[in-house]
Amino acid sequence: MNRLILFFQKNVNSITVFAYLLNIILVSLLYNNPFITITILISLLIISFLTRREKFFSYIGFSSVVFLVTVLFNLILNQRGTHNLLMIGFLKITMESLGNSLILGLSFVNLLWSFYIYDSFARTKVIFEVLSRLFKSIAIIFILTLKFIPEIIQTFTETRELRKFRVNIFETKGFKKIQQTIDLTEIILDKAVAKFMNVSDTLILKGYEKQHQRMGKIFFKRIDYWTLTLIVGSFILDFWFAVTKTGQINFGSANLMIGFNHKIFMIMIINSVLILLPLLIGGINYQWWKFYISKTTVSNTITAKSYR
Amino acid sequence: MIIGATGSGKSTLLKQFLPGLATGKVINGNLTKSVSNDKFAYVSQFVDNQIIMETPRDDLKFVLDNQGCTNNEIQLRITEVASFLGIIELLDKKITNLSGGQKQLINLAGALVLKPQVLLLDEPTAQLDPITSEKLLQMVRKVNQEFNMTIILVEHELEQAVQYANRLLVMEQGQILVDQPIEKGLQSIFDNLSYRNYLPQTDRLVLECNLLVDNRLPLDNRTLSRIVQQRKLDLEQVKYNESFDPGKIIFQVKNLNYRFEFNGRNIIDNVSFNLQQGGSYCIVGPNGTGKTTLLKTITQQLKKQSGKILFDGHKLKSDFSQHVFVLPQDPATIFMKDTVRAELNFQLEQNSSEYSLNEILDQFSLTKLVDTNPYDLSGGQQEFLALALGFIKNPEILFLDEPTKGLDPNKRYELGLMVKKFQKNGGTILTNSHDLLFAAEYFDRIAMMFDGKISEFTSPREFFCNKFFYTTEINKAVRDSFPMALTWKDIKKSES
Repeated sequence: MNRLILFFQKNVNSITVFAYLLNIILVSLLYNNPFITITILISLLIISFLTRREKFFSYIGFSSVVFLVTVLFNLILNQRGTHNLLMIGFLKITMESLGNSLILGLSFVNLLWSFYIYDSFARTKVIFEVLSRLFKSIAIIFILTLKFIPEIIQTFTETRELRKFRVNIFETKGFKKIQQTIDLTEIILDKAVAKFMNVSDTLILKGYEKQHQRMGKIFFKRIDYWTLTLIVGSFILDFWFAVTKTGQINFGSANLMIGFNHKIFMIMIINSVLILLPLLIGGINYQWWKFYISKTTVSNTITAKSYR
Repeated sequence: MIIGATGSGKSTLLKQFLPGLATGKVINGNLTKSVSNDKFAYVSQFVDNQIIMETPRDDLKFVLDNQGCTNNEIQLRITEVASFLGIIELLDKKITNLSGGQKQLINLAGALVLKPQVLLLDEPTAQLDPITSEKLLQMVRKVNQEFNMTIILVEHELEQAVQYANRLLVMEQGQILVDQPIEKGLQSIFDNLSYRNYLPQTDRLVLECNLLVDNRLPLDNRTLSRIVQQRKLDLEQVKYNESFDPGKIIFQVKNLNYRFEFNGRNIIDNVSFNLQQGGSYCIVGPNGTGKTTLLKTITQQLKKQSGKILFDGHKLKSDFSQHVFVLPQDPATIFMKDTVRAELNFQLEQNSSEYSLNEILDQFSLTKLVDTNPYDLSGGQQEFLALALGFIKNPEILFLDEPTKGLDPNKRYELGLMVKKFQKNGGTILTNSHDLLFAAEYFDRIAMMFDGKISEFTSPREFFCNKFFYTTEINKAVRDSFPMALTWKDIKKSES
């Protein structure tokens, strides 16, 4: 993780992180004007790359496939429009249908990348603290699921592989193959229950059942107030734009109109800033540290010297 | 310290102290505790299952949040316990990046942060290598000495922990057989033939050779070394035979590489070795050095990235799995049925085995457990059931991943005999193990793995006698007098 983003993650509380993540998901859902969606996509890609570089390129591949599939499906399903580009048998591609398809594809991809960021930022404890403040029983299900799902996946993979060393004949077709798959599922469920009980024992040991008070006492620092103010402000603006249908096009229509005006420009700027917020906050604080604090700190330690 | 055979009820007894975890029903008698339930803390052998959150700090906070501690108190308690256990630099690391030993230290911290008066430890070192185990036990000793905290430790063997214990309990079939101060307890174990194998190697040597004069059990290596030096003329090295005459090369690995991530380090780094038919090979090494990944890669559970694997001179084909058997680290992974009987019958049927169910049940001490669900067996019993399935299959190569995990010393001895019998019938064995004593006693060739690389396979004596730290306790203790001795059996009283 980039150090500027790491600064943001370490210095804001779980409510602020959660609000930021909810807001970028909301932003990805709300607008379909291509000027805005492309700006959002670029911002999302920057943050994604800086947040979790190791899985970035494989996710690029995945999101490209999703984009292509969405575009192709939409080209087949929605063949409206008057400006013909291509005719292949039953398939008529028009300027409008291509535009609609690309817009839908972009929206999908934006949503995927916003969840990528969510996955990179969200720590179990962040979500758990927020959930347990609102719905304690959901929080416990969440935490069990979170521990449980990777266990089931691992159990499935291991059992499937190890079964080869016990079973001599593997059916490759017909009813017997289905029967073998059902048997395998039953075996995995049996094993999963045992693992589930282990997690449950751990929760008992950690005193979850006698929880005395609300989880995670969350403290707000100045950085949290500032960030939350920005997020809430942008949320209100986004809500207002959504109500007035600003930033949205007549998607699916045979007469596709894509407009650009100062409001669209404003939305582009606001949402880019909002998505890039961790980078900007980290950057501002880093500059503050580099050019002011470290120079005014009287210290001869190597760390302070290297910062100067 | 509580010891006893696999399935003798040690863990069940321990869990009775914690009502939330207690299994079964108390049919008579009372458990009287002079401290309240929340003064008991528990650490189990399952290193990974005990951590819920993503970082140690989050996990410790979770525990203290549940106790209703204030933020200030949480901060103070985490600081205290992290400083005491020396885990400050681990607090914000991701759990997935920690080694087994580090995770177990975090689990210990999770227990100590509750300020318990009694600490219950259920085989806490079962999944750790010997050096990591020793470090953990030293930390437990520090807790015991500095805070006068009562520690109840369930273990399968006495080897390391015995130095730190004050009292010894032996359990047998749900009953307490011995409950004595440690010195008397060790003597009682020696007097009872069925428990002699439980004795630490150092104590076994002095008791077997009658070398004990005014020393107190348990002996540390330094004391044993002094005793052996003083009595060297009365002792002699037992003649050993390390002849190794296996058949043709049956399995070859050439320049094998494997890594989990595109730019990650090689977990298997250019590994090459050959296995000869009828040979037994053991790979030792600390936790996290790639032993299990190597086993998974060469048995096609993971796909190699480069290198060659040849079975009987040919590349591995889809029927490779029919010729070999793999016992994974968690034996429960290979179970497929609801009862021990069904598991064994299924395997007997699959392999048209000449053995009868009763023979197998008897050989693997599973007769009384025939209708039990395999998941309800103790760790050691599961290991033996899984081994039974492997031996029924009678494969050409048997791959075992930590086969002695959870086995008591008697069961480990039985396993050693089975390994030898399998080998005598032409079978080949490749094992990963932390258990240096097991490796030294029952294997023809030993190699060490570290950082994805593997050393050459050499004979046990050549391997261990060249090691300074990573060797058996007897070798460490008596190397000045008997450099080739690896176990207590290698030294006997001189007949002259």
